Amino acid sequence: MSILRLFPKWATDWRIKAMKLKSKIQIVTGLTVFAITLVCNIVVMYFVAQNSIEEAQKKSFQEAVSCFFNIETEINNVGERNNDIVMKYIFKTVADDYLLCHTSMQEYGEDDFIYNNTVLELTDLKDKKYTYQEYNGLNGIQLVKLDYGNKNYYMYKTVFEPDYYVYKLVDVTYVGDRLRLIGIVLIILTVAITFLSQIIITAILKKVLKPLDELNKTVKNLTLGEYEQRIEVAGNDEIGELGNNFNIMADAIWERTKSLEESERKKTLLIGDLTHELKTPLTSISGYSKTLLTVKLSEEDKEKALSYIYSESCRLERLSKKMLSLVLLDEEKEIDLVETEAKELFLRVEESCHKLLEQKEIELVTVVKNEKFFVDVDLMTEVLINLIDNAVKASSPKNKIILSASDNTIKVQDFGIGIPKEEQDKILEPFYMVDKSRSRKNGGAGLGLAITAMILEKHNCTLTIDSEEGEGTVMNLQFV
Amino acid sequence: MLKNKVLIVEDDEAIANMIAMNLRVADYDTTIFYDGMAAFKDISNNHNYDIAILDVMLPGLDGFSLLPVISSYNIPVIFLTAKDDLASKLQGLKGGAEDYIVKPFEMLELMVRIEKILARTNKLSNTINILDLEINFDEHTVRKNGTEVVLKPMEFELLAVLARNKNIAISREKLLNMVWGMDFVGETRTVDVHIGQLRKKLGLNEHIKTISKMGYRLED
Repeated sequence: MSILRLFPKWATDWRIKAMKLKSKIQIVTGLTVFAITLVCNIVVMYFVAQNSIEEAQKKSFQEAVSCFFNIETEINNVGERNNDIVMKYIFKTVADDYLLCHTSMQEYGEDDFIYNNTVLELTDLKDKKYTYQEYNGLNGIQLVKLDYGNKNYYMYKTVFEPDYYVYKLVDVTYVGDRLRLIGIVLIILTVAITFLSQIIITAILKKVLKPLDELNKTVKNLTLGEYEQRIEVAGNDEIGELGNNFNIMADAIWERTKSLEESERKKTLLIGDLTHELKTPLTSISGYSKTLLTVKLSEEDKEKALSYIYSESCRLERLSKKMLSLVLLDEEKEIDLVETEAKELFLRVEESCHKLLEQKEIELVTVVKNEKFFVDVDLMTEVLINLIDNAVKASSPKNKIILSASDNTIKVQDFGIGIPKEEQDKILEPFYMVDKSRSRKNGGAGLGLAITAMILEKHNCTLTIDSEEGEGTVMNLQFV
Repeated sequence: MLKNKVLIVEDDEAIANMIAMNLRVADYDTTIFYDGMAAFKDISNNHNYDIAILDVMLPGLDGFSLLPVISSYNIPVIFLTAKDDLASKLQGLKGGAEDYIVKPFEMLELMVRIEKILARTNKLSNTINILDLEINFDEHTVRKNGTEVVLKPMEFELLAVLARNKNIAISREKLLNMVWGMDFVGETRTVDVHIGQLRKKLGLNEHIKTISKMGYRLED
């Protein structure tokens, strides 16, 4: 915009409105072709003209010389010079209408013409700038150009002894005519070539610019939100390539938009779920405090109410901590992966899960050799604790849980209630609980697996679930 | 006097106990189930309830499925749930529930609604004995140690509200709304005047307590 402002308003308007690429190319090529053809034709014209004039000069000179020699021969045949009557006779026998002869230049007058069949008079012959021709015969030959009416002549002049001035006129009008004709032909040719070139250019432009037009239309539609629209790519020239790249770009944008929409949708869901999850403990807390404030309670009930307020606050705190770790994990772009012995990792997990397992008298069996994994130890411990926590919740008392490591894989296996097929995809979403109330009673908020999934994503590790209802669940952590 | 029996089916232990705690103070008998299936199994043996408070999302068997079972024993049902979408509300009410309350809820509101439903189904006793008073709702009379005390109509209504929700403090604004059907915040003087009258006429100086910021409470 700022660059365009440099021009006056009408100029920018004109540029924007009138100067489409097509018109630009048409005007530029039109002018170029016209100019080149014109220059060529002018050069051709110049040489043709030069050549024609030279040729006409030569030809007319030869004609004049041969005419003069004829007279010379006749004079020699008669053998008598210096006699007007003889001269008149000789000219009559030669009988050339374009021949003139007069005597002394000093005595001008009608009678002085020995021979004249033309309309020229003595005054037409005098005061002309004659040029001497390169010729060593006779008494030298001089030339002057003479225009009469619309005819062009070369007039050659020589002198016969003692003082007969002989002029020979040669008509060269044909040269001018011919040049004019050639000129007209060349002008027509110039115009025709320009015109033809325009037709060809327009046709080519139409073919070339059509994909651009389509590209333009598609881009406009894309801007209006029709992200599915694509260009039909024709050919593999630059424009075809542009169309191809555009399609790739549109795909990328579409995918990005979709993933953004998806993550936006997930966030909205998360907030909705969060609000829902907050509602229950908040209802209890505000309800119990109100009860304490308004109701005359026994000491026992008072204590009960207070302990509920405390435990529900703890629940809120746990929830907020987990939410925070979700958000922090989401923001943290990269994590440090350190090569860690599976043994060490399992040991940490066992320590942390000790109490949890004891409550239900569940035995944790670890199967591990010398496997090593690239992990963030704290986060991976968190993941395994989460998975074992879930396994414990699903298991009946005195069941077994197996934690095993093999090449690139860590497995957590339980023999509990299992996860129904249709639930398996959803359980990684925040707040999702297969059996809502049971999980709540076990102190879960439904965020454990969501955090697990996020941590695993940071590890480039995929979580797959093998589960049969009633038989148990195997959680596979597949490292890349 | 027989206590009204309330069935509570609610999976959140804290909330279930809170409801029970409040109801017990106001002289209700309560039975709690945390599991839909357990409630379903038990009700065929024991269906001696005056009203039921049901959650919708329940383990075992959800509230909507439990509703027809409970209704078949002529027990009115109030839904108490976090599901606040219209479809769920319609499903609950069309299924025959008397009321549908969305969490978070006000305990007093729940109690008033229980009271209304019990009154409508004639399960509310028409007399209340509290301290040395006998309040007869049919006759609109109050006897202190057998001797009738004459109360103005609004004084009686005020006493009735306090007696029905005994041991629970009710704010002046709430009383104004419940007794006079008014919402004027500035008019709470009226409540104070009538409370003063009740204290004087019935000798309740010790028992109608002023709870700071919370209102008045009739204690037994």
